[in-house]
Amino acid sequence: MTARERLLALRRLLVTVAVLRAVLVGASVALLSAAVARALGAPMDVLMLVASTGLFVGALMLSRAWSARSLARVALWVEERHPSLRYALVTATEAPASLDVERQAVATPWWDAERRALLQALPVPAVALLVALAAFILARMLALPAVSVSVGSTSPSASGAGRLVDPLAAIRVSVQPPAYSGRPAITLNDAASIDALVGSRLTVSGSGEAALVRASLDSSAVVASNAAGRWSVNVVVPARPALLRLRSTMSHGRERLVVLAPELDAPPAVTLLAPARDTTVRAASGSLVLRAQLRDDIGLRDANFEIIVSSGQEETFTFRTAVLARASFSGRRDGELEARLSLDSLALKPGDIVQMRAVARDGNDVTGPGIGSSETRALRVARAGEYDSVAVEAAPPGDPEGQVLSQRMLITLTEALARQRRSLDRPTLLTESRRIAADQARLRKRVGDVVFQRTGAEPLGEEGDAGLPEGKLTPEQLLARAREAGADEGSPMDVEGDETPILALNKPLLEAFNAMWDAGRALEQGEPTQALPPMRRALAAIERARQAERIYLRGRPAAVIVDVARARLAGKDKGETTVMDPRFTADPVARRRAESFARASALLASDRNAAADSLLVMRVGALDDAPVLAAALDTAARVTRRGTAEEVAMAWARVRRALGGPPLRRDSLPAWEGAP
Amino acid sequence: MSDFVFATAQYESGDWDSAPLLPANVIDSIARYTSIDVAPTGVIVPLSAPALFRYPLVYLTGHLPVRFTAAERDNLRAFAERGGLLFVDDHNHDVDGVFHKTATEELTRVYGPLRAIPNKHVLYRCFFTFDDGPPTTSHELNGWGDNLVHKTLSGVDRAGRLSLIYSSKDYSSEWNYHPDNKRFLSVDNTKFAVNLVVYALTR
Repeated sequence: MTARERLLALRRLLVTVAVLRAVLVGASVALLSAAVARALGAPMDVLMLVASTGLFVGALMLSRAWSARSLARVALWVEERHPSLRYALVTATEAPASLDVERQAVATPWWDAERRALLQALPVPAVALLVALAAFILARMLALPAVSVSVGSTSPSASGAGRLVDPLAAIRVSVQPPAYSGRPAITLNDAASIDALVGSRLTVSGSGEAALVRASLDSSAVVASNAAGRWSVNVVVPARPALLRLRSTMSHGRERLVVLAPELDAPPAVTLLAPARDTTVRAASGSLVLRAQLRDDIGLRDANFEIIVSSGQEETFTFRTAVLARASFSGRRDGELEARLSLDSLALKPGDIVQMRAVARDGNDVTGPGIGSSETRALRVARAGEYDSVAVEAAPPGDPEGQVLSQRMLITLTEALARQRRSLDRPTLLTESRRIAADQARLRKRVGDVVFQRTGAEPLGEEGDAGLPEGKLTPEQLLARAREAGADEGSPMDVEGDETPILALNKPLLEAFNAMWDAGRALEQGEPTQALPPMRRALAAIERARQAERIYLRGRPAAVIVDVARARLAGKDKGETTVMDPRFTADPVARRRAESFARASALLASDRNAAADSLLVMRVGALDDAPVLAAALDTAARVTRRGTAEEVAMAWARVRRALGGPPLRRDSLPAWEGAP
Repeated sequence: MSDFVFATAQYESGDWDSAPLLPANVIDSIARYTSIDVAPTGVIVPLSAPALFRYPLVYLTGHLPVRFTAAERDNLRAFAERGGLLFVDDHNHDVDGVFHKTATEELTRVYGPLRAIPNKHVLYRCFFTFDDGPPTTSHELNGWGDNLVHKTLSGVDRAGRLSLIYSSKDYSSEWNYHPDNKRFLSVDNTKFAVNLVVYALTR
């Protein structure tokens, strides 16, 4: 056997030993790391990460064996350990070698010594591997009892990893509504969302031991207990939406979310049927019938009428309160309340106000009672002498509206007659013209009525009466007639310049009155063309009267106008106000929801359950203020877990639409604003 | 064009116009002490009208029971949601009085429970400084009404901003005089009204 052949054999052994050492050491490091991590209770992903250090160590050792691919380097390694070879072995590897060199290379029996040395390098790593393996098994045994010990404390037969089952694989929810509601208890299987009355008691349970389940309601921990071989968690439905998180403590344990959607008990709806409207009476006597209709979503407890009597004026008021006709309804969902209020017994004086309303309470003894009340009706006893300002009744539109139409019509008729003037003979023209003149006179009388009503005088008499003013009236004549009519008590109205109040008020109508006189006279003479200009002046004057400021007397002193410029000792205020637009309402909630929905959408492709959980979490936030969105999220969460791709797409589209809110309604098409 | 118009709320049930000179007095103070472009007269706005949304501060007072109609309640709720500030003052200055009882009941239905506004609140520092909180009124000091000196105002905070201020101190009586008579006072008692306006416009 030549020196080269011996060296080749040694290299094979060297590579084999190096690979074996790398594997043994790497495995030992990995097992030891995993054992330590497991003993510390690290989760599986951390455990895998730690164990990968063994792979790194093994790879590092293998890299050192890479040099063995060169025979010369193996020869040098041997030469280093056997200096007596004096580089004969290195020279012998370079064929062809001389006989002297060959002889010198095999003169020293290096191969047996090296083979023994290589083989002696294996036992230590092998032992290390055994030790690491033992440590790993020990750590595993130590870690498991963390569950099995607690399990064994209540049920020794359940210990052992192989017998543990997922406690959240199937859950059952028993709902016990509050007693006052009278609703029966129900049980739901695998529900992701529970709609129940506030105060309902929920028992969530599943198979397995309580130690395997951790529960929390929003951020508060909830203790799980054992009952009849099952774990169970008891919670009360809160007033606001909440999320019940159930987590399995097993390795690879799952998490389940249950949305608690509180069903709010609405307060009773109360409608006051009688009296139907507010009333002002001259004297309060007799009795008043009070009647109210009551309705509640669950059950009414009792109801009554509330009476407040206010007496006094200005700064001095006294009040009396009373309760009438308290009645019990014993949980009925609707009912009617009736009473008779004796006004005589209240001894009402002028100026007193009686306010009445019905109040109902429901039987909610958890968050209530809910109290509902009706609109309030008032009965007022008028003070002496205040009727002129108190008894304001609705009236038809004022006369000027009608006069405008009539004057327009008369102008149209006159214009038509003027156009036909040449084709008509004189008698016909005169007849037609006088007919219009008669209409114009009637209209003039109506305008006169308005003028005289405003000045406080009696209106003019019936058509053709002697009360019709003869001819045009000058302002002085009008003033004189107004004085005659008794409007001499003085008026608080503000006027401009030195005008009397009567003239300021009636100027446009007086102008119309006089223009109509001119027009009527021309029409009486059969001159429609000459009648048209004063008719149009009359129309314009009535238009001005229509647009004049209306004055509503309230019996109050005029408002004080602050001279802002004087207060600031400078400037002149124009007294114009700005119409403010409603403020922009920022909606960060909608933005956050849109972001949450986008994140849930991103999860949908990779993990459907996680996407469904995200929707459930969104639903908790939406239950309060966006019921449509909450319903869409509930459906989408259920469909996402079990539905087909098409159903999921449809459900998610509905959520997206609900996120956008209701469509905007416009009263008309928006104004054109040009091309973008 | 004026930026600020003082608005008095008109409601169905009570004597909403029991302090007719107060708006002029407040407007006078705004003009005296600030550069706010203020309209020379106030306006009266029905509580159920959409016009309510034009005014950032609305003043409501009265002696008689306050019972909002459904329309008033809904409109007031929308007003609060849009950032409006309602200043309610009990003209009876009586916590046992019927205005206080009925108004607080109605306001609680619309705004939620009222809470005391701390006397370190920015409301008392946003223009004039009131170290002791809301200034006392002569009615409180004279022992009228409920014979109490109310240490704080109440209110409802919405997203860090007061949307309702409720007073039992009877500023309606205190400020209800012609502004020309302000010259007879050694200390102008309407300065706190300036803070109310400035708070409503700037916070």
